[in-house]
Amino acid sequence: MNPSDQHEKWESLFEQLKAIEPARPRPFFYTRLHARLQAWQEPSAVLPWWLRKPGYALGALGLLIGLNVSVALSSDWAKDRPAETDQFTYEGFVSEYQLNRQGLYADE
Amino acid sequence: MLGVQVIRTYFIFFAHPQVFCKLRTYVKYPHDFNLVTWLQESDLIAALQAGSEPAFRTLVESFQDRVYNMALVIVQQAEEAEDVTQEVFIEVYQTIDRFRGESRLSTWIYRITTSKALEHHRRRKAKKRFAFITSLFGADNEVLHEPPDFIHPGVSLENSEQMKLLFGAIDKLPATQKVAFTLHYLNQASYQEVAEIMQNTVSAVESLLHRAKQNLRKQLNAYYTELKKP
Repeated sequence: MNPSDQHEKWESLFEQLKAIEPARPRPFFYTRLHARLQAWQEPSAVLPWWLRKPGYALGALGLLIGLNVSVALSSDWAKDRPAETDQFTYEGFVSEYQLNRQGLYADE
Repeated sequence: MLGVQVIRTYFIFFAHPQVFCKLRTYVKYPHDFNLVTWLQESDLIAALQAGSEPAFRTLVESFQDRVYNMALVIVQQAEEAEDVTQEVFIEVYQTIDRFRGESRLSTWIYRITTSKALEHHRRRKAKKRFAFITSLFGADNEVLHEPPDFIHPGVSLENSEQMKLLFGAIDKLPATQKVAFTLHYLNQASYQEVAEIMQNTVSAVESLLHRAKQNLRKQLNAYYTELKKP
């Protein structure tokens, strides 16, 4: 068999592919596709859009924490509080129970 | 401009429901009549971008067979081909807003189909390799499940053995050769259309097809020489 005959033989084999009846998906394809599309869209109805985007959710959380920290640091709240006394020292004990310092050692 | 298109689409799809119903009947005969070509493609795209459900249904019904057929030849499994087909239309639905009409709608859809089908095929092959490796080291010596040889549902019975071998050989081709060969011989796309879908030149497609045929000949030669022996 010469090369051109061989070429013809192979080409006719490949050409047979063109005669194949096209395959089709199972019936009610659109119904199944529609159900899948609805399943894909459902979470959007449950969650707000910004919660479905982790970047936005994390950014919002970071902003919230930052604002809290800045408020806590900048407010006068910390400054207004009376200075805590150490309860475990002698001075602390005296001021806690409003004792007369001299009275404690009166007998001595 | 978009507003005008939306109004035109509204006119076609909603203001004249009888026209729309008539168009829908043509969908049943896609081989004789290509609805999407007849209906102005820009109108359909505008309707899809406006979120029209009837337009999406029209698109699906016009393209589902061709998309499924293309996916089936690449993945060579009916269930997986249906999965790919669904994914293609979901992607079309999700990304139609970004479609700027630089290529034809059909070309864009076929491009999505080939990339999705190849992605599925690659994933399945990787899974198969991984399963083989784990079976070598695993405690249970389970025999790996090998899917039966693929036979295209459109193949006639007398040709089934020959076609089974041919499809097996097509499956072993490199991805680009496989896509070019499938588009040209099974989806009957011209060289120009294949080039547009693959975003390549016509000469590159010719070269791909030539190499694909050479590879197929190499793979199938043994079978044919065996047949010729007395």
